Amino acid sequence: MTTMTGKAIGGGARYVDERLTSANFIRRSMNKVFPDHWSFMIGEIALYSFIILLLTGVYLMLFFDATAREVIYNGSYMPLKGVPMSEAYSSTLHISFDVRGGLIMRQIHHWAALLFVSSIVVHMMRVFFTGAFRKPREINWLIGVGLMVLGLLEGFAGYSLPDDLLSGTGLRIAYSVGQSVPVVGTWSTFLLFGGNFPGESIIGRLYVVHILLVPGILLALITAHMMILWYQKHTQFRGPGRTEENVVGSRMYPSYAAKGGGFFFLVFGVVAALGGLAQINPVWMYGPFNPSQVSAGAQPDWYIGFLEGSLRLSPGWEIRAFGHTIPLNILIPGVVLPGIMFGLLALYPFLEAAFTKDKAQHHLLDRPRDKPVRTSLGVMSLTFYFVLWIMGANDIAAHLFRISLNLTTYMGQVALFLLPPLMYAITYRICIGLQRSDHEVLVHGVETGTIHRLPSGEYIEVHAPVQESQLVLSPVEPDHPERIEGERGPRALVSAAGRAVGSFFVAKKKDTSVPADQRERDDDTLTKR
Amino acid sequence: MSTHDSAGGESLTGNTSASAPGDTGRPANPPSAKSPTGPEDVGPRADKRSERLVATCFGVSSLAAIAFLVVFWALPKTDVAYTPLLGVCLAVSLFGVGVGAILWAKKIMPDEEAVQERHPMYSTPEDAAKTAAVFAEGTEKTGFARRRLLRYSFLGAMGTLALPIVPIISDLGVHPRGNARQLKTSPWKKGDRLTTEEGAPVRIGDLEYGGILTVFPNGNTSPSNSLAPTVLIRLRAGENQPRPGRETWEVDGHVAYSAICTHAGCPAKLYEQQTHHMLCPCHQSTFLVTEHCRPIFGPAARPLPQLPLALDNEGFFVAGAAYQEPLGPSFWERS
Repeated sequence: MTTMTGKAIGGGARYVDERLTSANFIRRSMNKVFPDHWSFMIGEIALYSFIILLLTGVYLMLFFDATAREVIYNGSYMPLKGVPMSEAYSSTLHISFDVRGGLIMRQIHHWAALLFVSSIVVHMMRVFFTGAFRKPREINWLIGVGLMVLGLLEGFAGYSLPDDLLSGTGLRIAYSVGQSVPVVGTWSTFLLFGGNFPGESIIGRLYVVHILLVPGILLALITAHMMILWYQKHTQFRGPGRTEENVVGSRMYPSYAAKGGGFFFLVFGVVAALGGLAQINPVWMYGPFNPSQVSAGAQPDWYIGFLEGSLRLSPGWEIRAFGHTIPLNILIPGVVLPGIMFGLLALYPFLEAAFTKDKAQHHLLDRPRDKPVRTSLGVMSLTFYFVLWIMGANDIAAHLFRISLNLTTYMGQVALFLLPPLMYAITYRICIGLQRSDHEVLVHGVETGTIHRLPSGEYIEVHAPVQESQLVLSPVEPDHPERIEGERGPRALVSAAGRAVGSFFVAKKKDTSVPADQRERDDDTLTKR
Repeated sequence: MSTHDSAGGESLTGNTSASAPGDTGRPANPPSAKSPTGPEDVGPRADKRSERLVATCFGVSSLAAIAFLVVFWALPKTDVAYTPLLGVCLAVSLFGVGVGAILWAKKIMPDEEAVQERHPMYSTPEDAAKTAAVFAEGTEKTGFARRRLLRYSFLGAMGTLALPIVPIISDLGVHPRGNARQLKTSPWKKGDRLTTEEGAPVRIGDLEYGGILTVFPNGNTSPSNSLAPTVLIRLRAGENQPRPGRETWEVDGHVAYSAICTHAGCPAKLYEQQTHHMLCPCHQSTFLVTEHCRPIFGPAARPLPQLPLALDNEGFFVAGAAYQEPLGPSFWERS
């Protein structure tokens, strides 16, 4: 059996090898080691949802007609029969009601888009809070920021295509935001929309942006992201035997490939279940776009919500001088603020390196508590973002909690400036507290729960010393308090909880293995542990 | 160390039991080398059990895929359960493969922890210096630094090549000089009748006190005329406090304002007749109708533009004049 498969594979491999000389490359790739940690799979979710988006998107393309030409609807959805609407809206209804399995494809596509952006954002949080963006990975961080911004753009372009009342309102606002830019604003929106809003061109142009331009760039950037990741090797958390010079984990083939491949199907399964069971973007309920109508309580997809919120929080400022108008009430919340937010996000690795004067390469990840300033800055920024995001739905909140709509806006305006610094201070305190509890364990050992009574009558709890396997080389600076001097230099805790970081769900593996070629390669050596 | 196998077959045996690692190219560890997550995981019986479990997952997946086909064709697509059932079948068949593959990896493939050395993330100084030297030599051979004529003419040619982009892009939309004019032109002319969405003209008595009606110029409800929608509101006598000079713009308590919000261009026409507030649902700009629609809350900076009203000789409402200011959101060339 084994020899037969060996022969079959040998024959195929020889055919390829005699044309591409690929044996060494393939062997090294299969032996490539990936560290195991649940948080490393968040980025995989983004990759997998992109694949789902490509698959379902190609299917939808075959039925969708992105034209603004007006038609009279004559499909099987009775409430809209005879209503004039754009071909784009009509073909979306056709996909939803008259194509077998069309609705589930549409809904899987939309859910996968939400998951795509969500997982990118959570993945970025993971990379940020563990310091994985540090040298030598700044380029991949920049590519990641680009992927996120393009993901937002792609999502917005996508849900604007059906030309329903909700998406048309979104486009109307986008037009106004574009128009608010001084000097070039009117120019560029006229060029983009082919004239005054709504024009005849925008649906067709967004379609090209959505199915060709942005996905093409996304695909190229994802490829670059993965190639750099592959070449630089993955970061890993600290743990016994893990150093800046190695990677500890399971090999690409077969273990990681099986788990990763299986994980793709799990992600697809979740999205398929959502697409079948959870209705999303029921455009037939909104009706075709009409500039004189709008529905109350309408929210954009979640990733645009923070812009909606910032527009709502803005005070009514406008500059009128020298024959020109600058609408600060759109320009600041709609253009300047997101520009600053994404700009700071992109620049963060360089800013941190400059302020900490850290020029070293880092392959071991930080525990967030060990970098209280970075962690607090991250929580502060996220708080700012979440206030904006919640304010994108303040009308829903006002309705839900039965408070005045105006009050929610005032609360949001105050919270936007008050909460972030407050959260910075709280996070900083929590980080320091966690560091101290680590220190406590290092100095006094682990609590055993065994109570002894001394002859004097005093009760004490017995502390067991920290096991050697829970200690790693100190990740902290020399003046950092949370370390103890061991025989081999400063040591620190892997985890105060007594669990090794890096195996969140499963017990630490103790097995060893040495691949056959361990002594063959000098640069990609696998060694026995 | 058993390193007898060739590179081609060294790690292709993941589906064999961990108790026979001899042909894996890995060290001949004892059978217990599989992760000791529990004693029940070891041994040929447990191994068989794991294999059956994984196979069951794949089997369930196949069944669900077939069930998908059955639902796809057997159920009418108008059935309420059609899409949910398709989703469940698809999800189960995908989950079966996913769970099966992961269990395969976890329960059957030998658990291993491999260590790989990183390669240094920089080139040696000698390599970097050599590369720089090659580049410098190549650049020297081009004469780019010395030959000024070549350099400037080349850069000039690259610059002029960018010029054709300008007309190509500018033809995406209407002529730029027309921009501001188009935005500043009122979609309403003097004498345009106020008509409902259905095209019917409006006369006194069609609206009750506190009533509101969206009107269009002479029946033009085309979506392309996106700045035209206007609201006609009937106030009680004496409620309106017009701006100086606009006393004649109302007719018998009726006033007309642009429906397009001066903030981001949504239709701002959620009217509350008790307070005379008019709210834009997009960003909650609120306008006070009795005081020439000045903004009293939210991000809007300007009042909604007012349309002067008059009656024609048949008694229908008409525009007494065109809008006196540009409609909708602000833009650079506005004023």
